[in-house]
Amino acid sequence: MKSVLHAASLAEAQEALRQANAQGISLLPIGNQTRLARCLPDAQPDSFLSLSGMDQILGLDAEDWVCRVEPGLSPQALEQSLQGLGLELGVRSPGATNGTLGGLFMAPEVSLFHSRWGPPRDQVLGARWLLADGSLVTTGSSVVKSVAGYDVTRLFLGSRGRLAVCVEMILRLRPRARRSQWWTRQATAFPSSERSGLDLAFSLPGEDVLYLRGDALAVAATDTWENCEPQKGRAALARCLDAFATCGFRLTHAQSRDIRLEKGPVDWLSHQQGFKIRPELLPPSSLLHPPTQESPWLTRLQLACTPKSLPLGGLQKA
Amino acid sequence: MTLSASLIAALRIAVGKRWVLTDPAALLAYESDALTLFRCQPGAIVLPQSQDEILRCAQLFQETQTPWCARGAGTGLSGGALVPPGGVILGLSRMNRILDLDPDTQIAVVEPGVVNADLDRAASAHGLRYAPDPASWNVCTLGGNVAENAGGPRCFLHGTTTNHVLWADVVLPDGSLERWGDPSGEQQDLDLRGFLVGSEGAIAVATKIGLRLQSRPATSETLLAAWPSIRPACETVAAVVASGLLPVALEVMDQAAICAIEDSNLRAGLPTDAGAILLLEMEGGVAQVAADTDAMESLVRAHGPTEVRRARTARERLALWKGRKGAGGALGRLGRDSLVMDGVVPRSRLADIMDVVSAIRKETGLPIANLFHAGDGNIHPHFSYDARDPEQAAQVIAAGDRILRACLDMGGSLSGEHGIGVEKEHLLAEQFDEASLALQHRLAQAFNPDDLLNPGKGLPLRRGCMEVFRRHSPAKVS
Repeated sequence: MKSVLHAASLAEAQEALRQANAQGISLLPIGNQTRLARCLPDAQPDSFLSLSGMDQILGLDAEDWVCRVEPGLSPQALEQSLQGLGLELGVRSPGATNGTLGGLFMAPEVSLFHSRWGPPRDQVLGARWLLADGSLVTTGSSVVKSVAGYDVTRLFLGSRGRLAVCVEMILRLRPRARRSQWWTRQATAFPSSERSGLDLAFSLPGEDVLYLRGDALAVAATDTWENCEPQKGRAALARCLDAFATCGFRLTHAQSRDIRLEKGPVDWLSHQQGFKIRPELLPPSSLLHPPTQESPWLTRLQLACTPKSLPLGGLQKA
Repeated sequence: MTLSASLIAALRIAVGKRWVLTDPAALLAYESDALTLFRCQPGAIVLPQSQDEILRCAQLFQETQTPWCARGAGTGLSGGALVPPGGVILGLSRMNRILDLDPDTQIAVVEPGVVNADLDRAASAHGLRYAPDPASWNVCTLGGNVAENAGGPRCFLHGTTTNHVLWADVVLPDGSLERWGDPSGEQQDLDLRGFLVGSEGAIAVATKIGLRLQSRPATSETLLAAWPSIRPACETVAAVVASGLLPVALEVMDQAAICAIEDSNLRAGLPTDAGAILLLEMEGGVAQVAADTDAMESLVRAHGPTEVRRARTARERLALWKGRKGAGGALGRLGRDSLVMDGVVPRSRLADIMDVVSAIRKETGLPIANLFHAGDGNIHPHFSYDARDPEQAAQVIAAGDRILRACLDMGGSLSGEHGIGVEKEHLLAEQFDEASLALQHRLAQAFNPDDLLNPGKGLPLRRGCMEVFRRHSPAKVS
């Protein structure tokens, strides 16, 4: 059984990394472990560093559509704070309730808003990070457009905690869709001519229905679309995002850009059992996201981040 | 420092004799990009036509430890496409083929020398477009756009180049070839593609690029509103953004910029008596644009403009945008030399940064025009001056630094789309602390260990080579 260190502040996280580094112990940052499957395949940490206690909104600038958050905050908690401001996070991914924003952005994750606002990492303007030796660095900026310095933010996002520990993110917020309306249609071929003006298009496992949401004046609805009660649409969205929040899901991002959920083996990771994975319940590797093979660049970049420290997540297997 | 005859000979074998240029007249054309403040004559120009030729060249540069950089159309505005003496510039303008354009997946595959507007034109045949639209889009290349993460007016709604690059085949300084990213745009591995975009040509050279296209909107509307001064125009921008109406572009121009356009062949009927104008573009479905433009017009009118007008015809609309995009050129006529600054503030601070610019204009007497991507808080003060006058040139540089420092004080950034290059590296340490800059340097070194690819740019830590890029060289100016 591996131990978990809990950091409730930047200073605590920094101290944990410094001590681990001094003792030659490798750490891997985690949040609420809802996406741990994607982080573990090739990582061999001695212990975990949980950041789920760092869950504050540090700043919210509604006028500039920017907010500053700690990584342990849940997407749902952020959405609640944004309600009434006409703003929302440009990401809709599984784990909205149980997961953390840190996990969402650090694990390669898909978003139901992809066709509207791009992939999750497009929503992060800048961040503060702790490197494996505990040193604090800043990347990106807090304005919506900046090309000063290399785009280290994008390189670190999606790196599953192997390059740096995210301790703060500056997120770009998006305006809520105006004149928003819900429809359903059969989950058959969905030509691009029917997709304009939509911000959501998804289906649920076992159902042949595609749920659609968009600007009532902008969409190209056809006779095959049926109006859907907003309540029903929102319920479907909640099911889509939460029913599979604990690793047993796969979102396939088809070339056609609509997103379909497929049910995988659920409950393979039991939180009560600590971090020991029950091998018989491990999803087949085809369900793991990302593939089990690490990028050949990982080791080189870990060395560049902290030339003298044990890398986050431990040394690569030979 | 001159290049060895054996390297020149090997390069001639690699790309063909006529595509290696060494005569002084040819080299002169490549001694600067569009930021003429910095000049440095390269040792040779090589014009490859294929990925294999680039690979071969990279291997030769590695073997001979020759500094080199890739260059598109040379429209960059931060001195990014310069090499130190004895270095080689790889001009990619001959690699200008659109290799694939798939209307179903809405993905285009291009060579780096394809001109931005050419891709957009090719896409329009399928009802598609390429969204990022830098002012130089008629000449700038997509490879250069990738290196600098180019922006443009439409980026307010559609994002900058990095939001539209799905993947790239890259040649690394050690002469190897890799593919970064994939057609889904959902990076499942380390986002090397994301690190490449905006790396100012210093980690790898893209030889083939997969770009996301999008449907052309069914219709567009342009609104023009005028005020006696720039502050209410900036405040209206904040109100428009807060309304959630989502125009595709929000551009502000001051009187100096308006008059320069109206005095040029780009005349668009702009109100020359206005202190500032705001251009707003709406796009989308017919019903949506009609409703949103009406809402926008009443919102703008509530901010007390002296005039609000809608472009009545497509021709009138295009004239307005042609004026905006050509404003840099029109302003170029006002002085012997031009310097276009690039800085970013939170958009709620636009009026404040304009006060700073205006104070500097009063204090120094320098002609400064303003035209900027207001929706993104991305300002572009435009200085007209005479580079032959060292005192005036120094004054322009000092004024530019003051504006950029004010941007940083307001929580902004040193650059929104032009890049750091050789222009701003001395200020970068004021935006990032030492540990963060050192990290950037180490990460870049992982890709470019011998610092052969585009050395001396982008980071103050690479200053070793910096001094070779001279600011102002009057002897060279004709």
